[in-house]
Amino acid sequence: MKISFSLKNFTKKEVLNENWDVIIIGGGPAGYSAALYCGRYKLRTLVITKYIGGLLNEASIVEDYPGIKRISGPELGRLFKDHAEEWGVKTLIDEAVDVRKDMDLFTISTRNGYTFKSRVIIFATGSKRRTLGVPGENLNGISYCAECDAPLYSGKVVAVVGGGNTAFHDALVLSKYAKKVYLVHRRKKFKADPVLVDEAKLNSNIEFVLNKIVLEIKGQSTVEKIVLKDRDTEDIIELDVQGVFVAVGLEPSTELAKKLGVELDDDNRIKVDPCMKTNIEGVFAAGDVTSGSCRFMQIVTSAAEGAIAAYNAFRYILRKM
Amino acid sequence: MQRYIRFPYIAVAMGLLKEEDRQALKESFEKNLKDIVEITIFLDNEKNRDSSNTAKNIINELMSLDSRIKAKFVDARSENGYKLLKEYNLDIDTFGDRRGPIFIFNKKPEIVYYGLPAGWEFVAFIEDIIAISRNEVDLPPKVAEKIAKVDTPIDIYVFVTPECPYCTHMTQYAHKFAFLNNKIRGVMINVYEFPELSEAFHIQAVPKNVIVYNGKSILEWEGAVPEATFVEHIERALVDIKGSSNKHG
Repeated sequence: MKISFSLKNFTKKEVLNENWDVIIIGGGPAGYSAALYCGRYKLRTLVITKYIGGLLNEASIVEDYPGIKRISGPELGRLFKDHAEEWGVKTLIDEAVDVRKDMDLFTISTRNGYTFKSRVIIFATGSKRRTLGVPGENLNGISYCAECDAPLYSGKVVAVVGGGNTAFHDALVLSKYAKKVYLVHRRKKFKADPVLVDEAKLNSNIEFVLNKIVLEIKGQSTVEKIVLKDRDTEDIIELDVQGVFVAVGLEPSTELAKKLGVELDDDNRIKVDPCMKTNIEGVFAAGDVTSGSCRFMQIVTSAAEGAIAAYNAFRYILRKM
Repeated sequence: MQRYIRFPYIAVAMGLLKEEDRQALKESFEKNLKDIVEITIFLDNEKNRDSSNTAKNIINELMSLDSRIKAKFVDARSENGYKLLKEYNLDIDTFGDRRGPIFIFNKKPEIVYYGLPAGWEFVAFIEDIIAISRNEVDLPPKVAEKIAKVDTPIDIYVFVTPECPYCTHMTQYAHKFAFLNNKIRGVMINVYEFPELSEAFHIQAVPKNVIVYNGKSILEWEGAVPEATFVEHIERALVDIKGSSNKHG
């Protein structure tokens, strides 16, 4: 691996106005696609996000975004941002902590103490990794980002828990560094894309441990063992591992939307109609956080939802003028 | 045993930056730099030879882009070099005795890089150059107010890997805090190049952020947080430090 010095995270600094047409909360594919379209509609658009790229930051390689054969997730995230900013969109790296509606205007407050007003809100808050909810999950050596932490497990034995695309991605990233990777899954079959499963099967240091649930992670201060129970025989086994990577699915980040009174579905996702409208006038949503796209959470579906949300935000603003 | 994989750093004479990045940097420096920025780089050709070479090369490349960037390379294995390292209180790697590459800015020696500001960290380094040259840093006013009130000398260690896109935020915040208040020293630590130091702080996920007082960890957490939350951690650590000095005093 050649050392690189990258400028891809460079953010232009400027004093931000208080008033906006559209504030987009979240800077992943949905957020910046919405931002791009809003920018092209000449709407004054601000993206408030904790990180550029959202969960793209945890994808070492993206191979399923049409037109781009192969790119790292973080890099694609920065491309989305740069593209939107070419159309006048502004970015604030911060966390939106409160949104209130007063007549036709929203007031958004951030963790760092800023307050903005906007005519439209687009929630593109994405999702975050679900935790295991077992004893020992607070030990050193539990990770939710293989992309960030895999190199720290060079020559070690680790477990990845999960059976979806994220788990397989994590196992494949880790296999480049770790001596052995156990892929622990509670079912006998995987829901990950066959292309990932095939790649993992060919990898001699990935071992599948199937039909097992995690009971506990043991260790003094750092991870030493993972305790598993077979779902059929109820036999309990312990595997010696130095790290556990949790990839048991995602949960939508809806706290803020909920606070505003946005309606959620039974899975805690923002309910949207085909135009990405929520139950609150002037509030739209896009990406992983919504109930849209048959819940097929992909970069391409998030980007599409972002564009649809922006289009309908534009129409909403025109109507109100 | 060395725990962390090390990059097989390729010591190239020049050309670490892509042409488009060179161009972007040249323009940015032209537009943003004001005063001269002097950087001291400690090199350790014994324990971190490859990355010390890379450090020299990347700095030379930056200097070729703008004459306001100046550098002094110090052999940290020489008697004088080690003396200078101690004068700057930079001999914090008591675990592995790795003395470079370490970068400090002469005007703001509280802004420190232990190891290469490689990968995603490079932006933090460029931001530091611009901030020091312009003698200004942007932080949310409420955060800046709180940082200005810190009256106890603390170090903030930010352990990073160059591949971690979240880590650079924490480096940037720690360095901005150090810029505003010289009671705070912000130290980015590249875990590849300082494996023993990283091992001593049990780094198993990055960014790992440690607030250090008198060489001891007072408060630590994993993950990136906004500036305001970062400051809350600092305030909590200060309460602990003051509480424990009251007890012992």
